[in-house]
Amino acid sequence: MSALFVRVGRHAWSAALGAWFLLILGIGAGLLARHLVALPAAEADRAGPAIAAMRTPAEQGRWLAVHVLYAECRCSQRIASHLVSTARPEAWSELVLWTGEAPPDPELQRHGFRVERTTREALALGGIESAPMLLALDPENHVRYAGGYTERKQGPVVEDRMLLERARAGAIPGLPVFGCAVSERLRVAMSSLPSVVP
Amino acid sequence: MKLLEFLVLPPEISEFERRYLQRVNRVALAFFALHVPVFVLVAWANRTGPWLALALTSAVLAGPAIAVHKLANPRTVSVVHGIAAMFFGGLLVHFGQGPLQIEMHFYFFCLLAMCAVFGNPMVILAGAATVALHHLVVWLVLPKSVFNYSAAWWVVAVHAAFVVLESIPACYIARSFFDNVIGLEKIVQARTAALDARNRDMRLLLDNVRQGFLTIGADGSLAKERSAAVDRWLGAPAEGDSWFDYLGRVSQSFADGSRAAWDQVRRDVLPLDVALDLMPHTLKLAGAHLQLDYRPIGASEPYEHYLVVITDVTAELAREQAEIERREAMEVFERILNDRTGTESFFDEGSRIVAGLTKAGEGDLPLVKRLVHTLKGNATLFGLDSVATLCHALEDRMAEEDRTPPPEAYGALLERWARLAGDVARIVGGRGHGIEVDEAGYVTLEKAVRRREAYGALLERVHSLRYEPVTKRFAQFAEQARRIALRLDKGDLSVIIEDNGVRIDPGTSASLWASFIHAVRNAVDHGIESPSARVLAKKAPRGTLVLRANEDEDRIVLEVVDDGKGIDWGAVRERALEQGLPVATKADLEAALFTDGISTAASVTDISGRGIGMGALAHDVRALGGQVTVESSSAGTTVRMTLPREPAPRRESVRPVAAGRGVSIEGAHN
Repeated sequence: MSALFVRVGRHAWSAALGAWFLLILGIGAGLLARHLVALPAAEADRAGPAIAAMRTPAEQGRWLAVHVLYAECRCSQRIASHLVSTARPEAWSELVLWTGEAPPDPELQRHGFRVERTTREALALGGIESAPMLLALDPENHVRYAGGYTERKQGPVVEDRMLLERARAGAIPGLPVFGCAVSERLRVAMSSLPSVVP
Repeated sequence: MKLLEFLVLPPEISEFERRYLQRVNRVALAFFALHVPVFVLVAWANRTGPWLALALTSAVLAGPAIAVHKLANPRTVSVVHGIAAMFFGGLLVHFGQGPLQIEMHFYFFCLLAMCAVFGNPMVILAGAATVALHHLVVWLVLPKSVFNYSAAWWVVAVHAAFVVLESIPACYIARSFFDNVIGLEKIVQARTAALDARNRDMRLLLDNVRQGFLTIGADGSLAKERSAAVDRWLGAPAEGDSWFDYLGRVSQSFADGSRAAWDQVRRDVLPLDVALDLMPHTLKLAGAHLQLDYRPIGASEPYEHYLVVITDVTAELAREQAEIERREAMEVFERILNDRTGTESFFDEGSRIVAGLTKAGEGDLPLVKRLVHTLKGNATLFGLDSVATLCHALEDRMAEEDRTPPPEAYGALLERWARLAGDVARIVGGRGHGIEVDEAGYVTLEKAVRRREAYGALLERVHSLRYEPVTKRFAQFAEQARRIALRLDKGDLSVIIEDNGVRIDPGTSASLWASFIHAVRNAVDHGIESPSARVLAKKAPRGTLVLRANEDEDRIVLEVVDDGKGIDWGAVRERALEQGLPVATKADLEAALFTDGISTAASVTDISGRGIGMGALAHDVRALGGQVTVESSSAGTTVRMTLPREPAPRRESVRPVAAGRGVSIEGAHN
């Protein structure tokens, strides 16, 4: 028995390094997954009517871009910064659906965006479970685009204006949504990934 | 298999590699430790959780920290560094997320390349495998029902391709670093060991050879390696000593001579072999004779190094000396058999000269010179080259120092002479000088007695038995003259003896005969020309030397006549002027000729040239009451010695004394 302890003792540090390797590997994989994983896009048949019901009279018969932003999501914050710092297409009315604890960025309204606060549950009812997400509706409330803003997570180019332009020609496939889970269902699913990130 | 051998290092870890890896591993740990504050800063700037960054970076750092301090194998520690590097890369991508998140991926490739510094392909493979595992585990943890797999997986494939692309050359670099830098140390060690072994073998050889070997530079610098024999003879050199400084520690005069001769070698004025031949070659140390030889090292001139070979020739010289002494002993024995009286007379005169040397004072330089020169000439005449050589060395010393040698300088000569004299004494049996009578002389005397000749006439006959015929001496001088002529390339000299039956008292004439050789040697050396020169001078190619004796009532006249080129009176005048002697008349010049130090020779040889011989001859002739004159022209020279006659010996018939049976009459010499 003592020989076993001696052997164990001799290899204790090697065993500790093995455990370290597995631990860090798992944590790293979890972090990577959260970087690689694309969140589900909106269900167009549910999102379209829900958004159509939110049109103002001034927005009737116009192309409508809807920006779903989550206050506690860094990617959403980045999109919000992008929106207020870029020239907006004139042919489009733009609506910001803001959810989360923190109030909307006042710059959005100052730059002419209509900002509507909503709940995560209401978004989920409309088939929207993640943010930031872009939806483009034609004047007949058909969803021409539902998806993310960048080709890749943290992609340097926010391609909303290009996407809106293309959506006017016809429905286009949505870019992956990189950001945060909004719906409770999705949040529970994300929490199953190994990570120390809340 | 070859790939495996390439990727997996040999199991043995050299001391050099161990030290190197320990150093590099510690540097790597410090490098990774710096990641903690840097990543916290990055996380703070990107609002991605600085506290989380602190926790995770520290967690990753724990691996290398444990490895460096707890693992014995430095290669394993390096592998842990490789793994940790990839973890750090992943953390940077996470905490650096934002617009530059893609750029943060470059750090993976930087770290992978840096891993080459460990000189171990397995470190790079471990890092690459960690990255691969890192991505593979994502497949395992990702709930398939929820997430969109379509996006960005091609990015992972691109990442993998680049990782593989970089890993291959990084492994090559790491292995090359191991082979050529870390491994070079092994190669150097192996070669050093081989060199050391070879040096040991060489050292063993050098320590056990009897000869001394060392090398010197062209500038005289002394190389460190040398055989042990050199140190035994010369001692150890001081640091920085040149070869000549080293020699100076045992003999300053030899070192000075060697240094001066080496300058000739360096100046390249003479052919190298000639210049090296002029180097002093014989060094005497504490009873040992060392011979030094210089040999250039290299294929062609100019030579940068020279080999000095030192050989102890003491035994060889002793053998040679013993052989010389044996030969001379035989020579003495033969001469005693052939001419006992003459040989005894020579040794008597020689002993007188030797005794005179030891008694000479410091102011007797001219006397000492005459004595030594005379002894040398007679020793040569009697075939005693060892004595002649010792006398020549004394003459060189007196010429160089211009003073009488100290008593200890005569040691070798006295010792040699004592041995020779001892040999003679043993052979003659300690008997006193006798009188030799040949058969014819005995018969003549007997007939005279039988005829009952008058008492007075009989007494004269008996009295005359004491005197020796000059022809005996002349025969010896003739033999010497022929030998000298051959040696000086003067051809086959014709020597004519005209004794005219003259007999002379051997006792009183001993000193005369001792000096007579100088006239003979001078005649051959300075008078007789070479055959070719004689032909040009319209003379017979063969030179002639006449040894003549005549007598009348009052005197005996001895002459040495040569048909050579005559005396160069101009040279005599010059030498006389140099010494402040009068040169106004012919008589002055003749007087100068017989003065010590006057010689017309261009150089000194072991035969003549010192200007001593004629002076010694004149001195000894005058001591007997006689006089020396000289007549010279381009047809030849006559040196005439006129001596007062002793109580007249009976004139015998003019015929050569044949070698025949003789009768030795014992008795005291008076």
